[in-house]
Amino acid sequence: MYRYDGWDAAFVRERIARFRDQVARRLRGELSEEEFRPWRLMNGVYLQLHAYMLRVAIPYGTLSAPQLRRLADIAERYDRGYGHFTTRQNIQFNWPRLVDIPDILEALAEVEMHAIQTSGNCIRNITSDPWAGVAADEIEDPRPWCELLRQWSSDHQEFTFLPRKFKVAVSGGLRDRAAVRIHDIGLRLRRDRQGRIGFEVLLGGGLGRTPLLAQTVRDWIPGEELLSYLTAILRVYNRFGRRDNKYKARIKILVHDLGIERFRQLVDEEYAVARDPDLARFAAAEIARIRPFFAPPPYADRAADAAASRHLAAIDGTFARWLRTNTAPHRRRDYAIVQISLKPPGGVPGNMTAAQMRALADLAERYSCGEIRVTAEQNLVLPHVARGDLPALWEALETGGLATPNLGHLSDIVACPGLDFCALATARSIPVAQAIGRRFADLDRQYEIGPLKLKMSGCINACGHHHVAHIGILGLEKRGRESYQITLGGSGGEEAAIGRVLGPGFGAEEIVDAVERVITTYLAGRRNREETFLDYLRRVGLQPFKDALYASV
Amino acid sequence: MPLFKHGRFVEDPWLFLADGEPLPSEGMIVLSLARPTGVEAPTLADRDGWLGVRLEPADPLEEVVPWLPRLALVALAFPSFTDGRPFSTARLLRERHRFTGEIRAVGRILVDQYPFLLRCGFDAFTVPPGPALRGWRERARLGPVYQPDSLGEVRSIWHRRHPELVSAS
Repeated sequence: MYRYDGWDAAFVRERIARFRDQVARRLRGELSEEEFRPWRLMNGVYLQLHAYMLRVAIPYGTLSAPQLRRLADIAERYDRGYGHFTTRQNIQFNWPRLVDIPDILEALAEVEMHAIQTSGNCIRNITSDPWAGVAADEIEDPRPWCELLRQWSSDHQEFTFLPRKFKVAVSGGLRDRAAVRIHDIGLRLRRDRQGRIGFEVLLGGGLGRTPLLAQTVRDWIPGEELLSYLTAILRVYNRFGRRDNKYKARIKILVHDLGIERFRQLVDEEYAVARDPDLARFAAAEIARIRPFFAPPPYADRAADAAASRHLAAIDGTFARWLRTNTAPHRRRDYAIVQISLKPPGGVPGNMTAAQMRALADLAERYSCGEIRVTAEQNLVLPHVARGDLPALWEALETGGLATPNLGHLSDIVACPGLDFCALATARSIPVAQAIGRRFADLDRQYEIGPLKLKMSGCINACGHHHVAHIGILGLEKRGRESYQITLGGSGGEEAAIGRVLGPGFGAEEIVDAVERVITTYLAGRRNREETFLDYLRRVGLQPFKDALYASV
Repeated sequence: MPLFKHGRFVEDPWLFLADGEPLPSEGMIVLSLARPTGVEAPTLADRDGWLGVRLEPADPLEEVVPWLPRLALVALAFPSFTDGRPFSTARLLRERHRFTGEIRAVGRILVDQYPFLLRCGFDAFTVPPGPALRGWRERARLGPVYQPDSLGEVRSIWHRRHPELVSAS
């Protein structure tokens, strides 16, 4: 893992000191809310429905055990004993008092964490593949590049007052596990014929009220040129992006309005003159400095007992189903990637109690080289578990309520906080997600249904990523009542697609039944178990679902 | 309007003229972009005395570029402190067009933006009279930063980590 040097630490300390001063001025009334707003947002502080909320960055989704323990301390001391993992590798704490937030940031800084640029119209926390460094199909670990971008984008002199927020994701695998196509800029690591590292650059993705998938703006940019090229893109956006309407201010709208060809031309013209050899030299030197921090941990050779999990699976069906759904191949054959579902039946998606955080931190130290990852689907990952340790780890996870074997299945629901917390929300999402989770709690039924991604958002801003769900639910407000609209056929990652709206929305008391009818329609119509929900939908289209949900109306 | 420059408040020798106001025969004047690019262009080209131009965020930068050798000041207007366009304009003036005169931030800016403005090439700041003045005296300073600027004037964290690269530039 990356470790701060004295400069990184000094940078974060200075940021906290400045924010402490800004908070004090706000509390004394020397700064209006309008003047305070950009600074609180750039430090991750939102003003929610009932209180402030603090969004803490987990850069590129990598956490150490001591860091997770510190999050548990903060959850206990300043929140109500839990934290909420988001869809962008952040964790949110509700209910902190504004006056306490600088102290919380100090507590985070002690374990080399921060809340810098987790909100605001600036370059946000850089996200990445939760399997970085361990995935079998990886070209190179993307995290050194993420760390380079984290530094480059922190307090960037030119790009901190952009027209709108700006999200960047970096993927290092042959398969995209960082959802690069729904980001303002998506970077896919590539090697050229000489073996040099570079990036395919995708541009203009995003969800919200105008969901668009990013398009390739450049097939290849050498790694050391990345910062100059991004400077060119961001400069074009900063100068020409719309500022008159916040709903039209994302870069995706500028790309859409100009067309990708014209945008590419503007970026290329800017890049030709903005190309900065000094910046390239610094980038190369920084990457060389950062890379060793992400060297693989000292794995013990565990080939001898790797069969232990297979043996247990043969006699214990409960273990077997967890092994099947919640583990994935590691690049070493004697190790596995273990996924921790934060979606127990009837639970709040992404919530984790302080006790669970501490238990998982202990397990990470014992079984995963002290490392934990955070996913965009509001789950966690133990990335380095010896196969021989899987039975013992599973037992411990069961005890902590962290072994729900539903990864990638219907009850592995992604949901935003919705109207229970969020000032932007138009409908509740948590209670609906809980109700769906309870209705489909039967695991055998979920396995029968097969791989399925259900995601829901409590407003048009789409933090729950419903546009890229196989079944998406969008909560709106219609004449004073909550109305839930269903979209079908979206997909994130590889083969990304935006879902299509099925028809008029359903009331809060009808939506679970509506999802049930979507599922029964699929089960009745599919050719066989190998035809997944998405395959079926792509074969037959929306009509059978429309018939099932609206025919009687 | 009080003027903050080089870490302190100084007298402002410049006169900002509105578009209808007649040109004085001498003195340091600042005009909107419409005037040097309009009918007064020949008069202004011949005029003695220092000239400055005030740019609104949407003004096309390329129109002022031919005038830069004649200008001693470019004032960049901030209609709102959240409008980040002048940050790019200032960097382009300094780094691409090698403008060495004064770049002044006028309009709505916050002292908390000082480190960003300074690193983009601003070196003069108009501050509304009142309590903000004390804030500028106390808070206008630069902390550690990661990004090298292409003029090499700020010793960034990357400069300090890689001193061997500094002489190469």
